[in-house]
Amino acid sequence: MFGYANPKRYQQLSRIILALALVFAVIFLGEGLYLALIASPPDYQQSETVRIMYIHVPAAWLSMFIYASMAVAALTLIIWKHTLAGFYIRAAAPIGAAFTAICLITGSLWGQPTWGTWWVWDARLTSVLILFFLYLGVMALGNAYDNPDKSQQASAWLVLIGSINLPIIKFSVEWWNTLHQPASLTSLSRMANPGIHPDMLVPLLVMAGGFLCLFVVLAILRLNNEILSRKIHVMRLRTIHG
Amino acid sequence: MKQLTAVLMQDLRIDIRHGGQIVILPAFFLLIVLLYPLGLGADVKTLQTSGPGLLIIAALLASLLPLEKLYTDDLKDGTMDLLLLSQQPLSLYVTGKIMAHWIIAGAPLVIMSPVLAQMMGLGISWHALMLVFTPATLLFVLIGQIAAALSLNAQRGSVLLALLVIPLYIPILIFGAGALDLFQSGMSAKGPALFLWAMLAFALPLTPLVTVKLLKMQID
Repeated sequence: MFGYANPKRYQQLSRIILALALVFAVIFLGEGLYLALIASPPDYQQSETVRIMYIHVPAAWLSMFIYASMAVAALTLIIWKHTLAGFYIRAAAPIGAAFTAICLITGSLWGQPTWGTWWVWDARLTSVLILFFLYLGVMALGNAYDNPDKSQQASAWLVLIGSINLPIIKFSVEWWNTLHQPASLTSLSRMANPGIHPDMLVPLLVMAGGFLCLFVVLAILRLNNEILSRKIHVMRLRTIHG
Repeated sequence: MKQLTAVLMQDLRIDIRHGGQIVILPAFFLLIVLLYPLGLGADVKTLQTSGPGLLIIAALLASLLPLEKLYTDDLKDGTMDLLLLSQQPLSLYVTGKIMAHWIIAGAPLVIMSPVLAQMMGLGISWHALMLVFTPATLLFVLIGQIAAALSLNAQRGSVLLALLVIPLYIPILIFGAGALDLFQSGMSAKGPALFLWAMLAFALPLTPLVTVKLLKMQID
């Protein structure tokens, strides 16, 4: 792992991963979108609106996966001072926020015809919204200091604290809902129940794979940009100070 | 111990001589609560059903206000540099800060809460209120001061602080409001109240250590 703190070795590896991920993203997304939008059967209750799920659920999975990966990067930065980890957090946060936003927006578009409302203060919805604000906080903190190293450290700590907080929020919100509301909502929101038919499960998984590859592509591109912009920053400082 | 009390007494003294947040914050707390009957209507039933949640939201907002100043003054006037040079453990300083801040910005809210509960027409006994507001305000201070240390000296610090801290406050709000709600309806509030105290037991030893790390990062 530490060999890749060397930028050159990282760049060699990232080029291979980037190419692979790009190819797989195109294949999976193309195949997945065809399966999801055209080939898969409409749901017997939700009819065609069920197709929103093929975007919604992978986005939700990724929004959590990206936060978890950022938490691992934050630990790596704080414990081992691994240089790439700080860049990774900065690179991944906006992508994670975008997937969370996609998840929220598609969810609300799906909710309108299915539940008859754009928004419910349901456990899942609320905790995803909070996750979105955590992403925003990480992004804001990442730009808050003039010294980029300090920004990275500060956002790493925030990611870590947020990762302790997130399960608490998740469970507390569920708790809080069972205190106040009938449990019917939570069972409705569990769309990805294990009893899903293979005709729908396959496109869902292909889409999830496509989203994951897309995330890898975007993350590597952004990571490279972050490294380049840091290089520019250092070069500028060098010319200023002679 | 000596250092701890020194920090504690100094902060209290500074606060009193600078016009006393210890007085202003309860007034602010009262003002937020005052907004609810004006906004929602003074109907007793509405106030009774939404009152428990409103009280804890008001306490949350009142705790948010003084956080920004917590460490900035000490950073700007060089106190923190001296502390680092003096080789004294920074954790004692942070603990002293937290204690002083709770006395100034937390305890008054706890003391005020029975009065406000009476004004909202809630039938919650004063010791039930203490049982909820004591850990809630302590947690507001403990978690809030981490966010204060995180956004210390940052650009647009105060807006950033609110953005960072409110998502972190949500569990406290949920369990606090949950406990108060159960007390209000006369049921056992053991579950959420114990959760609050458990979070406090978890946060009390850990948060000062995190802040020490953050302050060290901020200074160098």
